[in-house]
Formats: sequence, structure tokens, C-alpha cells
Amino acid sequence: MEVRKYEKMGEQVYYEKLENGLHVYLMPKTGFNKTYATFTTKYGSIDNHFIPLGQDEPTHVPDGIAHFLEHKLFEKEDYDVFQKFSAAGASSNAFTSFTRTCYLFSTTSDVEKNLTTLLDFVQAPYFTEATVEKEKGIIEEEIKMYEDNADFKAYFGVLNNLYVNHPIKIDIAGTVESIYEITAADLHVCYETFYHPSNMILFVVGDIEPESLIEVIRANQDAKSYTATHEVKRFFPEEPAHVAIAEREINMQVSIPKVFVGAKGVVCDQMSQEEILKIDLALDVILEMLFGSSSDYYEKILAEELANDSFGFEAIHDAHASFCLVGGDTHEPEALAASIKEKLLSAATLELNEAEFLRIKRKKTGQFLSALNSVEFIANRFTEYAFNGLSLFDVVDVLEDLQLADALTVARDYFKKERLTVLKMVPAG
Amino acid sequence: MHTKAVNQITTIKTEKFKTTVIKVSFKAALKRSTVTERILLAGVLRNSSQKFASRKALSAHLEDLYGASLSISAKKQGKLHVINFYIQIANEKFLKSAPPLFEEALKTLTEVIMAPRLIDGTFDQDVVHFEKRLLKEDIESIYDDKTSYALRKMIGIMCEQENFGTSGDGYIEDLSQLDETTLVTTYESMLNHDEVSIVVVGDVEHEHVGHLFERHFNLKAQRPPQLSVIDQEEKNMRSVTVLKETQALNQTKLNIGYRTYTRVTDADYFAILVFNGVFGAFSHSKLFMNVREKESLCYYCAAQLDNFKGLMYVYSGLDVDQVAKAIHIIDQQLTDVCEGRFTAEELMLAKKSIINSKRESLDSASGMLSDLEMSALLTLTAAEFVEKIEQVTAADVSRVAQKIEKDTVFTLEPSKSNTTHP
Repeated sequence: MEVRKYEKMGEQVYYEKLENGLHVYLMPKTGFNKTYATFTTKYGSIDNHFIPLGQDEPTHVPDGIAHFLEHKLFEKEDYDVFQKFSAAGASSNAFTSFTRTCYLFSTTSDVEKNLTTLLDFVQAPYFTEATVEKEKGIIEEEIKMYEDNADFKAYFGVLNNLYVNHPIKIDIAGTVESIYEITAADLHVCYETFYHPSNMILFVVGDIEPESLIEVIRANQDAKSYTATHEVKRFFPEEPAHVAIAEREINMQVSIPKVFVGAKGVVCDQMSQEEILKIDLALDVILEMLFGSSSDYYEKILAEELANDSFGFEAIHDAHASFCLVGGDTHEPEALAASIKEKLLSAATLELNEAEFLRIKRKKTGQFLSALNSVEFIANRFTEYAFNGLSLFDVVDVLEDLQLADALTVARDYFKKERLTVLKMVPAG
Repeated sequence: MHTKAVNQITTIKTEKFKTTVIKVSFKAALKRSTVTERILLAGVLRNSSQKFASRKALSAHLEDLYGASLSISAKKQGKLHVINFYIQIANEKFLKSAPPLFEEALKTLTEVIMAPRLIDGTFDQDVVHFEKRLLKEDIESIYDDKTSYALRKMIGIMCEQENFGTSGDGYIEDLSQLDETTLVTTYESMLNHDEVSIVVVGDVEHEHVGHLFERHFNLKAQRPPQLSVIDQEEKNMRSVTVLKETQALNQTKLNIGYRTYTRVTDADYFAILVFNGVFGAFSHSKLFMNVREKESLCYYCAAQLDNFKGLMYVYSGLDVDQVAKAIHIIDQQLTDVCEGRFTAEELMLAKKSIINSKRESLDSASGMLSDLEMSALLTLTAAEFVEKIEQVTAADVSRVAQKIEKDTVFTLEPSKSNTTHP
């Protein structure tokens, strides 16, 4: 095993790539009661067009299939996964994102036994037409639960305004219609293609002994046979730089209207992951300087009663997609939307001062540090970065090295009129 | 982890975290007449202080302190209404060339508690007006989160005649009676009459913390703890209240409220925790296994206890046509536990899950803080808690289950015209 030391953070991570291609990361945390393990495939809701394992032609699969597969891997012919974990003192769960599907457990006892359960249940699919049918009622109610969630509807509403073709605009769980198209055969195709160990990362963090734990993992994986490592061929549609819909209004049973302005960024194929990360961090800093809790702008819209404490912003910038959202609850949706748009478009000519920039950098650094208190955050984000060839613990250094000029470049290039959209949510009836 | 308490200050020394937390709590009895003013006060104190004259100035100061997070919130807890002042700050040993930060965090927290921005003996009128609007919109927005709206509504119906029926979110209609002068009375009452507790969690020495508090945090009167969080008020139960409301929705939110007649300080406390492990708390519990896994009626169906008040809430989201069937299945699960129809394995799973989540909670500062409160109430350590859970028998579980009475069924249903999905 290779040991990677992150001295300033007081952390170290053991790494090994197993013979079948599985990437294993083990992170000892002395004094923690809990051990948290995630077993993640680089396969999420956007991977709906690809060449299946052993075939030559690309295929399109129904919306929501990665998430459906996540549900069905918990089904076993002769045991209940949740009960097996609980009997060994663990609790387990799973989630699907745009780019990943993650299976996890946390426990305060029997780490080796639970780790074996995790590897075995994810690596031994069992689905029949009957069990696939039975799951549809459950997922239908899950979709409807999200349909009734105003924040979720607003978020995907913005994505649908922003994107013309890219599958990031599709709800992760799919739609009630699309999930009823899914068959056991579809699930097998996706499973075989994306759950090869070489497309997966195992991350374990807790009060563990890496040397003995890796033995258990090696023995477990050596006993299973896999085809040779292969790179999955995925296809994504051409996405224009402009937005799909410049402005749209939706109705929900809410008491206060909501408004979000979305901005679409351009992802450059030729960029290294390091450069992408730098832009991601610079974008965060810029949004904080424009709209954050200490900005003149936030003080002004609060004073003018255009916004309240629900006002916020978030950004995603990675190799697949780049966008940000700014907004919140407001009794003046028109005025707030116009004001946010104006602010975003003025970013290019903004005078940014160095002291303010340094303050925001300090804030981001401290917030990152406090996020590291959570083993869940560490496991999930470490895996996300590792799939992109980056290390979570290097993020702080990239942040420290970020210059005002980097932020100014993003401010100048990112926000263009044809790449902005407005989503308004107004009370129904 | 090492805990030490002197006077009101408890220090939990641990090297698990990269930050340090200070929490100062002001506890008073929960009252319909004071709940809104206390929430508004929290907002006004969070707004600005003598040294930090605006929200913006205070935010900038916190950013300078490496993104220290400061929150002031008022929450309902059993019979109490607690205003928590909370600050979390980075431990400088993980930062490049940062100054000592803990003392700065303490000074900031002290400033917002002890040095509010008063003008001629009253709060700033504009600030109060501003915070009233934010509180009003905050209360309004509860309606927009349908799951929590439905649960709150059910609790309100169930406890309408009791003190516990007081909304922990505050009341819009009370705001007009509050102003910059009345809030001074609220503030002084908090400082002079509330019970205060102080907890620090992080890589800090108790003596050092004590010295710093002495230097900066000058709280004169030390009031011995007298208030009880346990709410013993009971209701004269007649029949089950059934109510529904319709809105433009895709799914019915079903909420059922029960009286458990079992509270934290009762001998049956451990038994009711294990009961809920069997009945509804986990993914191996009867509700999840039957309503979701067996019948595919829903995505979630679970039960949650309020052991300060002796209540249980069951909640699920499902198709309106399946509500009657789901209620029938839920009733059946409770009857099964009452009559002992659960296996030794179900009992074992319930205990293991409770013990695991107790131990896991000690890996976060917030978990340590609530463990500290529970340990004080139970006069038990975490290890003794585990032992008590292990000792619960199947007969104990059935006995506490038999005490449980259904009180209220509230459904938030889609209006008929709403057909988003065919």
C-alpha cells in the first residue's frame, strides 16, 4: 500500500489499486467510534448513452435507471441487506447523483464483517421481472415526494431552462413514465457495464488498521472473477453555449414566490482537472464576493425588502457541466430577478479589492476545515475528487494559491447575457 | 474525550475535530405569550451589536475569523424554550499562519450576547422592523415545506389545548405588539431570569477556557438548574381526531400522532426506545418492512418519538387511494408489537441499531452536546445507557406498546383537480 500524507491537515490515506482494478483508499481516524465506508461507481444519472460491455453499438437507456439500479441492488434472493448490516451493528444506505452511485454503511462494531457485506451485496446483483415491478410503486412515491418539494422543483426547473440537450437536466430518479419502461434486462446491461471494479472506488474512514483491513479486502476481491479492465465509452450530446429557455414561470402551492437566476458556463474539453478545480474555486469566491453575507449587494436587497435569509447561491463546475444559481424567496420576483441579472452582468467590470478577496479566501478555508469534521463529507468528496484524478486534501492548497487575478478572469468571462435564465415559482391557484 | 464541569461551564476536550464549538444556552419555560418575542430577540441580537453596527459588519468580522459560523436560534424543547448562542471556529493549528482563534470566537459570542446595540436604552427601531419582516417570512415559508408543514399541523391539532401546542416557530399575529422597547424587557428577562449553561467542545483545556470566560464573559448571577424539560401535561382522551386538508399536491402526506405516556425520566424510557426500534425507527423496523417493502405503498414510513412530552409521530407519503390501507397496516403493526408478535431477531436488531447510533453520535460536536444533556437528565454515562438498552426484554417492549394510544390522524391530500401524473 502506498501512504499519502497530508501533514498540515494531520491526515494520511493508504492507497492500493487491486488486481481487478478496484481503487481502495483507507483513512485511519484515531479516537472515532464510527467507521464509515463507501463503495462508489463512477456512474450516475447523466450516463444514459454508452456502449454496453461486450457490444459494439451505443445504446440509450430510460431516465432514472442508475437510481433504479441503486434501489434494486438491495434486493437479494435469500437475505435482507438492511437486516444483515443491522445484525452486525451497522446502518446502511445509498444515493445516486449526476455522476456517481454510492453504497455505504456506518458502524461502531464488526468493521471487517460489514465491509464484506458491502462488497458482496453490491457485487452480486439479483433481480427478476417480479422484483423490478414491485420496486416501481416505491420509486413512483419517491418521485412524487420530490415533485411536492418546492426547492427541488426550482432547482431542476433552472437546469431545464439552462440545458438544451445535456442529460444533467433530467431528474436523477427519472419520471413516473420513464421508470415504468425499465426492465430487468436493462438493469443487467447497466450493471455489467458500470459496476466493473476498475470503475469503482472503495473508501473506508474510521479508527481502522489499514494493513489488516486491506488483507480482508484483497481476499474478498481475489475470490471473485472479473473480465479485464475496460474503459466505458460514454456519449454526451453537443450542448450549445446559450440557454434553452430565457425565462419561465411555474406554479406550486407556496406562500411566498421564489425566483432563481441561473448562469450557464462553458466547459472546455482541453482543460486539465487542476485547471477545472481552480475555476470551480474561483467561481465560488466570486459568487461570495458578489452575493455573500458581507456583500454590499446582499445588504441592499435585504434593506429594499427584495429578499430574505433564504437568499443564496451555489455553483457546480466540473468536466461535465458548469452552472450557478442565485436567488431565493421573494415577494418581488420581477424586481429581484432583474437585480440579480444586472449584478451578474456587471461582474465583468467589477472593481474587486484585495483585502475583500483575502477575507473571502479565509472564510472558504475555514469552512472547508470544518467540513472535514465529518467522515461522511470526507468519504463522499474524496471519492468525487479521486474519480477526477484529484485529491480532496489538496483543495486547501489550491485555494491558498488562488490569486485575485484568477477570480477576475472568471468574473470577466463567465456571465453573459445569452447564458442567463430566470425561473419564477409563483403560488398556485 | 474528557469532560469537566465547573459552575456553568462544561468543557469536552477532544482532538477529533478541526474546529472548536462554544454553545451558550438560555432556558426559560415555553409560553404562548413569550415565544414570538424570544425568537425575534434572537434575530435582533444576531443582526448587530455595539461593536458590529450592521449585519454586514458582523458577517465580515466572522469571515475574517476564517469563516466562523455564528447562530442564534430559539427552539422549543419539551416544556422549555431555549435560546442557543452557538459559534464554531477553526482550530488554527490546521491553518497556515493564522492567529489564535478561540479567544476571538469567545469575544465575538460575548459581544452579541452582552453588548447589544441599544440607542437611548432601546433597540434600534429600524433593526427591529427589519428582523420582524424576516421572522414573518420565515414563519410563512413553513407552509412551503409540505412534509414539515403537515407534521407541525398534526402536532398543533393534537396538542391544541396544551402548552405543548405552542408553536416553536412563533406567531405572525404577535409581531405587531412587539417593538424596540418591549424587546428590552425580553432581553433583560433572558439575561436575569433564564437558566444558563455553557459548553465548549474541542482541543481546549478547561482551566484555560475558565480563565477566558472570566476575562470576557461577565455573567453575574449563577442560577442553579430548576427548570425541567419534561412536560407531564396530559389530555383527556375521548376519540381519535381525524382531519384532512387539500392542496395542489402530487402525494398525500399522512401523519398520525400518538400518546406514549412514557418520558425520558420514566423507568420505561429504555423500553420505549427499543419498542420504536422494532416498530418504526429504522429500515429493518415493522413500518418500513411492511408498508414499504412488502406492499410498495410508499418511499418512506417511519415513527419518531418525543420523549420529553410522551408523544409518537408516524409519517409517510403515499397515493391518496392507499391511505386507508396504509393506516390499517400501521395499526396492525402496533397491535402485533402489543401482543408480542415480533421475533428475537427483530428485538436484537432494534437494540443494535440504537446502540450503534448512540456511539456514532459521539463523533460529532452536536452529538456530544446532546449526549451531555441526555446524560444529565438520565444521570447515566453513554456506557451505562448501552447496558440499559441491552437489558430491555420482549415483555418490556409489549408493555410500553400497550400504553400507546392513537390521538390524531392528519392527512394533507392532493386536491382533485391536481393531475400532474396520469
